[in-house]
Amino acid sequence: MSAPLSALRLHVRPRGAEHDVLRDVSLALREGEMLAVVGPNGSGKSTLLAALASSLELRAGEVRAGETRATDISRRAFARRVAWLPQQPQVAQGFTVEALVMQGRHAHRPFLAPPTARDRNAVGRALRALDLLDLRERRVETLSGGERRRAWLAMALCQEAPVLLLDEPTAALDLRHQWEVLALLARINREQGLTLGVVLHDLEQAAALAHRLAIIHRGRLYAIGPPEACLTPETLRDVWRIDADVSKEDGFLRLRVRGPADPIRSL
Amino acid sequence: MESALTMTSGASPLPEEFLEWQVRLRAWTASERRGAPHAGVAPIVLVKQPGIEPGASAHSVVCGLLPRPDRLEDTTREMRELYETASANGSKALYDEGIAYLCRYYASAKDFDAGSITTLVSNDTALVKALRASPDCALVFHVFDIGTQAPGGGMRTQQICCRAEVLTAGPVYENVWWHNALFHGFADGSVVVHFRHRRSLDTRFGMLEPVRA
Repeated sequence: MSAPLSALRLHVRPRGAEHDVLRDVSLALREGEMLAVVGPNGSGKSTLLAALASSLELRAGEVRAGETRATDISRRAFARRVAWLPQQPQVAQGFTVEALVMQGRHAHRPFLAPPTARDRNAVGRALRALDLLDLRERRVETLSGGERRRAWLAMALCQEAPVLLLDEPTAALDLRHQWEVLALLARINREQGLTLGVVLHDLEQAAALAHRLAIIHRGRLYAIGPPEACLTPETLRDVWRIDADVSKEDGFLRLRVRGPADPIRSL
Repeated sequence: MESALTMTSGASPLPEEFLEWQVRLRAWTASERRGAPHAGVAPIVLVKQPGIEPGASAHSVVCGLLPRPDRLEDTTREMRELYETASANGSKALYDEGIAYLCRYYASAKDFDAGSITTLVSNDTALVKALRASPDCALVFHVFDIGTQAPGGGMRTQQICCRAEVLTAGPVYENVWWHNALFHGFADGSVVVHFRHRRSLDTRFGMLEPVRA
């Protein structure tokens, strides 16, 4: 069975740049899994997610949704298979939460066609899932950071694509809202069988949440696999340049950082 | 006595002892330091540069050895196949398999081209511009590593006078490129500098010889 979303030998080079920011990256999201994409700042995590979302011009390589090459189908058809929420999405002023969430239905209805009952039901479900029913009439710009993040997540869920790519969904959220968002992601992954690719900065959160980690380092895939296999002291030295112990407590990986350290491999 | 070493044409053989030291040092680096380069593989390249007269500009590089001509294409194929099979698991796994490969690769000085040293550098560096303008250069190996565990001792002072060729394609380029790819991934915008040895000087008791254009 083919992976719902895969990348084969991706190379991405921003316009005008002389070097690739993503170099020869291949990976596949397995059906129903949650894959956390982790790595230091500037390593290429967001670029990888945008490339997987077929939102970047590739210098080489290809993205496939199932057996279908992303370039062989329309943007709308691809969006029915893969939803992507970038790190800092933008919306015009004046949108209500409900109108924002309805944007997720564009992939399902013809251009300028009015929403159908199915669209409205999908919006209702997404608002309920994110606990936004009371805020549906509020303008997005009046929301707090956490509420706004949940509204965007509701929009991505409303797209009802079997693969959901989220770039730092917990950024700028306080601990309580981080926990709520991550619990929600775990729930939709478990209950709806959604395949999730999520960029996360917190390694303990990523290890607790994800079935597998993809570690990106200097634009390359450093390692991919179960968290306990990937998150080792030598990986933390090579990639994050820190000296740390990794232990398992109550079933969760815990890191104890001692300080900066030189990498083991001169990658 | 006829040397058992083979090499590309247009070069003279490096001192056997130097080449043997380089091979032993690289084998040790692979097995004991997980490939972290030792000062002994990082010479200074002295080259005449337009606009810097008299004298020469100095450039630091990490250099490599080249398989002897009859092994060149086989080793390129092995490195490429290793890259293509191991890279799916990420650069860490690839690196570790690459190191295991190098532990076998650096077995004997006779497996290497006796007249060649190489490096892979970015095309837009001052070194490449200088070598394109004036290919005669000197690789200066100065190692003062007191207390080192590295084979061959901790002190080396050697000037290797060479003629350099900047390569963007061909069997030598491919070999160096795939060797580098095992450890550092695809090197876009890079060129290979092929240093062909002309003569060597031990500079322990004397001055460096001027780079002659």
